[in-house]
Amino acid sequence: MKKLHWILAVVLTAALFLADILVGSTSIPLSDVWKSLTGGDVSQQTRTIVLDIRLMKAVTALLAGIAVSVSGLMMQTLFRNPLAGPYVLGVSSGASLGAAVYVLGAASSAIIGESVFGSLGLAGAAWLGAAAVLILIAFVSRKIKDIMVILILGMMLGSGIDAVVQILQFLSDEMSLKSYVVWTMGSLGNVTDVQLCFLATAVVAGLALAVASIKPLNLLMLGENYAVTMGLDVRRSRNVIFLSTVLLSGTVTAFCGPLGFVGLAVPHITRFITRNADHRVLLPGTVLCGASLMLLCDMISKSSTLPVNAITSLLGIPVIIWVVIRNRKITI
Amino acid sequence: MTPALEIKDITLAYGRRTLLANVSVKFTPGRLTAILGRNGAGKSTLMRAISGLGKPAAGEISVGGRNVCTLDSGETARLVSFVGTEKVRIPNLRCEDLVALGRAPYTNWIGQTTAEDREIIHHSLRLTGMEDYADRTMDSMSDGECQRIMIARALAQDTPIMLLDEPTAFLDLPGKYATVSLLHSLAAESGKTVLFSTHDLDIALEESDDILLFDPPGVIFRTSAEMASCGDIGRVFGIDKFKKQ
Repeated sequence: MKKLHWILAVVLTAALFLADILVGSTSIPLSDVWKSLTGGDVSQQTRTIVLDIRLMKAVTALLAGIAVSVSGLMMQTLFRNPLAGPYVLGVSSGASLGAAVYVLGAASSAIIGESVFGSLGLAGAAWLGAAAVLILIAFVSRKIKDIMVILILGMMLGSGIDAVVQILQFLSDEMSLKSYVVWTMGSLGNVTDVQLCFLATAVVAGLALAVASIKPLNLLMLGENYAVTMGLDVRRSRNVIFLSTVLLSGTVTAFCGPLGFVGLAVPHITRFITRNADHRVLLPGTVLCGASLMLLCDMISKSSTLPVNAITSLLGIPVIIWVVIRNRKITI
Repeated sequence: MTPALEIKDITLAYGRRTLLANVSVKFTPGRLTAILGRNGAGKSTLMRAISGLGKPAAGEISVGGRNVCTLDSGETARLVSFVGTEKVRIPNLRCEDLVALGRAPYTNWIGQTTAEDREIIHHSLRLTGMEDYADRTMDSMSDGECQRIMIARALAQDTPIMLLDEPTAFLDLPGKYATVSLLHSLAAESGKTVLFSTHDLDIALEESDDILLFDPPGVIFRTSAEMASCGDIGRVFGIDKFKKQ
């Protein structure tokens, strides 16, 4: 990738960001959107729609796209498996369990109302669930050397938790079941400004850890044995990568629901575009590509009024099928 | 003077099975040593211990007087480089970039290579005869070519000790000879201690300087010429051709 390509990619992402603010159920002319953003003279209602609803949603989409894509890239490299994604370690299952316990269990006890505290509670519970799974995985990985065993344990743990969530769903009443199902469909629009601060902080911290893991990730491409003989402290790098993943995909899943397939598909799209395997190129590429794709999904979701999770899956699945067919002979 | 590799009184175990007991060997820098032995005799376990991937049950492995068993992976990586049996084929990864990963123990936090690093990388590619492959990616190369790139990566690591676990396993006969004679010249010219395990007895006897023969629970360490005539290989492997006449 030349410098010009990077500039083009940044411009494209910025353009999609602006386009995402333009698209919505009420049509607002570009000039009014621009005035709202720059503090010009527009009606209070327009300003509210642009700043409080659309801008918030666009920023959430941007952060969510970056977060799940970067954690997907790290998981694919760490597990040397092209079909690994941000959720292979059971992070989304953990978040689902947290959300399910909260919505299906606690919500019925009427302690939680419609307050800000209440909505932070759902995300908080989901985040705790994701973190709990990751602590468990990190603990297991201290005892187990073989990364493939950890992959299998993560997937088994995820399936087990999903079963518990199903039981909770089965036992719950109609109302709580619906609010849980709506959470699983994913939404970028339910994030309050307080939550957005949490989300942004977690994503920035997770990204910083990901950037610090660039060299370890490049060494881990050759497998853990080679990485050790080239001087890498594999356990430490593994834990940094796990922590980064819970900060990135755990937090996004908690606030926006499980965003299927973006984290799995984006690293492959980035590899295809950049024709490179170096994480010094792949990481920034994945950031831009993930942000763009999620903004695009959000626009489609808004214009079709369908849940964003359905859109990300429908767009992501063809990419994954293409990867499987193309990579029949080789693994990453 | 290049630091020498010495194993002192080591005991190796795999699970609960003892492979080697109280073995001591001193290797001479600048010589190529072939490690021979039956399957499961502990050749790989010994190599893993020397390269810091595993620890011996007892004893000491010293490189230039420093005990590898007590060093962290970063320090060991400057003393011992390793080429394993795992096949590495990473799409889109240029050979030059893969060899550059060998500089990891010396580069900064993001793995940036300096002019000196790049000189070493190109030198490594030249020594292994792979300079024309710098821009190729490994998914379009033969097993022998990939093996040479992995050897170039180990060379770029610039260590006094180089270990290779069955580097000839997937190669055809000319490929086997070419690889072992490359290792021989690398040892002779750079003064490195090069150890490789193999099941190709003929090639090992012809091309290497010394032979480390696993005769559990001990080892026999001799020059190739002595080993060829003493009949121990024939006894350990049960092959008449190598038995004493």
